[in-house]
Amino acid sequence: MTDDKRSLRQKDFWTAIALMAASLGLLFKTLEIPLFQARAAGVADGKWYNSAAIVPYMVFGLLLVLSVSLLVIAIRGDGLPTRDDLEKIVAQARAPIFQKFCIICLMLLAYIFALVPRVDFTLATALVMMALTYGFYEGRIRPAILSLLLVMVPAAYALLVHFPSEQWAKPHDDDIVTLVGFVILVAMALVEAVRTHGSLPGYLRYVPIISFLTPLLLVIAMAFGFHQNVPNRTGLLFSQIEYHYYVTLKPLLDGRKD
Amino acid sequence: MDLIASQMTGFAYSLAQLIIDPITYLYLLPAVALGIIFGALPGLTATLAVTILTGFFGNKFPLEYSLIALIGAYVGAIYGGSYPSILVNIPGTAASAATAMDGYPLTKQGRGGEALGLTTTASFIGTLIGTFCLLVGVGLLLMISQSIASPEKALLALFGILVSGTLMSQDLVIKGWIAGLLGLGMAMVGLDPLLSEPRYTFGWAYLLSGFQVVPVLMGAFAIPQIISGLLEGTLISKVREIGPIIPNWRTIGQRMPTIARSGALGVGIGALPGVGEDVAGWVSYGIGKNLSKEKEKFGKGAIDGLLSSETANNAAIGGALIPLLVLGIPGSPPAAALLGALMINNVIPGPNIDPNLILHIVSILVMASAIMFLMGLFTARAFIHVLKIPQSIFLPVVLALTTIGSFSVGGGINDLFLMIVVGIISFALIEMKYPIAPLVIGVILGGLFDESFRRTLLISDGDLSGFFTRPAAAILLACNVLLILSQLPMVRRLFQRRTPVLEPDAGK
Repeated sequence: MTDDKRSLRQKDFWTAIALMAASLGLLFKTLEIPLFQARAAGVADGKWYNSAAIVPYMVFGLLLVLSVSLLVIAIRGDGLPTRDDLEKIVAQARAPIFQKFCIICLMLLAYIFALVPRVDFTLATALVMMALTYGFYEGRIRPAILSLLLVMVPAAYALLVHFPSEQWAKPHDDDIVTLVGFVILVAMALVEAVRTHGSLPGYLRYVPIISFLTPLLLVIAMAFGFHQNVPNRTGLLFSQIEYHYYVTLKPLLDGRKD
Repeated sequence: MDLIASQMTGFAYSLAQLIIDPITYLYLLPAVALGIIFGALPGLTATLAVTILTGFFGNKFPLEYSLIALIGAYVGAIYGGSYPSILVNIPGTAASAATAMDGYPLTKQGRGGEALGLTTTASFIGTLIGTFCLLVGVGLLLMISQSIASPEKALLALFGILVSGTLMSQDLVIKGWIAGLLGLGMAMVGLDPLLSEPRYTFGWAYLLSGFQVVPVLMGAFAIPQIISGLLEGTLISKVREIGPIIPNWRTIGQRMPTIARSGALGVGIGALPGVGEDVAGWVSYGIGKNLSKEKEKFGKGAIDGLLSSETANNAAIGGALIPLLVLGIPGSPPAAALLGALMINNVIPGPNIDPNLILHIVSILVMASAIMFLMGLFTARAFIHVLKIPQSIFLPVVLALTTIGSFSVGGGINDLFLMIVVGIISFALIEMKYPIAPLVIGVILGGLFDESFRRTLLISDGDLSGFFTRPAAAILLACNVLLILSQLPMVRRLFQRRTPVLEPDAGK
């Protein structure tokens, strides 16, 4: 058996345990759905086949059976963890690829859970796009860590200062913090790149512009072209765009038609 | 014959309407171009192109126009995947992975332009074969599907998840089934379809309406691509000199039997629920190799190999739409995204689907393939420049597209939370060799399975005989059981003992 196969079976072992726990938990949760006293339009009905719990019992029951089978396959395939494996796991956790994976996940989580709900879409997306490109273009870990820091600071500020959903759309201080974060990241990327390479790499000449223009054009196209809902309409930039669209641009265009 | 004649008449009328409408070109040209770009960029897929456009169009545009854009992108992306396969030996999409086997050796021989010309023509013919089969197959199946009731629907949904899980698994078949069950489990969240009983909502009002299809699609297909692409690092492709891109009509004429066979195979595999273009390309390539008199040339620049995979993956588009339109069961992951678009426009595909909508879709496929053919021949050099864009630059753009697309479809910020959680879990599953297509098919078909399974029990007062006393249901039940049995190690060992040993190359 190859090392790759064995490593896969070790992962299967832990996945099987997780799946067993999840399916048992969901089967337990299914107990809350009436089985022998199913309700139909608010009226208790004693027929088991009328219950909303039948299919979930089948699905999670089968999932439990398959996870046990996976566990057996994993154990037969030499996937049972040993003491030596603990050292391997620690070594894998320290490997640059795992660190990069964690950095990407943290950036994405910060973007979706902290920035997008609270910060102007253009600013939040520009920051994260710039961070992802600069952080991962050269494959070095240092730019990735610096980018993460500059995403996490505005994200943490937005999350801590404006946690409740009532505050998501109101104040603009988190928008300004994000804008400052974007400017610092661009400046830092330029200085760092010049210091490392001796000159400015080609990609850094246009990536800050792409990072800013892409979400700006997208949000304008979605809101006024595709007539779709867009995140954070009261954001620092979008509120101005929307105001001038309706107050300045639209009357101008309507007047020309007349 | 009457059926074919009436379908053809309806199709001709629908196609003529589409051709004379200038708005068609406004949607179709950018959509096909976008599709080719998505296909050409390694890491971006046809599913992603269709999903992102679904998010953009939502239900704010007339469905007939949205479909032009979605199908145009679908056709363009499946074809566009051949560019990096042939020119830089990196498949743009999984569907064109087999194309690289002979496409890249041809480029190394300085015949890249010829290879592109051949694949453009083969993709065009393949799409037309798929479209013809769709036109005829849908008509026939619609007549049969009138007798399909709840038991058959439940068993078909189950068959779709099982087939997808079985054929898409790279490691253990059990992993495909687990992925399908995870999808089915996700579909159980929310108010149940018959009694409106809340299930697994944990007191969160957003979950009452269940998991929305578009954020799940975006999460399952886009986020893992973004993460893995960024982890791989910057990929700058250097394209060799390729020569003129001209279709060699003489070669095409000589290879018509290969093209026809690959087209038929593509349609057949595309029509299998949840399998689609990826498998079609490989199976057709494998069969083409086995039937070829010049087996030794395969992998070294065989024209037959190139045509086998490219014709099949484009023909699979028409095939994948057959079960989608007649039964509401997507034949491929991009077709699943298309189903999401139909659902948010309140169109439920199935036996009662509007026949005019089918003719409209068939006409769009023909138009899209014609535009793809022309773009492939006359603007291919422009698309080749796309290959030079590094992943770490275009993947963040994809993140912005998926975020705003997922948000706009309906559920707002909660849909984004769902997208990112599904995305990270999907990445972990992909890393452990779980196929993602069965999970998505499970989410889409879970509601249909739940409703039709329980409706069968309700009608028969809990009697399970409804699943095997009806002829169609009995056949489907047998298919499900046989499929499961065929994957059991005990049964496989038994078959291996009884089957004579084939020559080592035959099974490849």
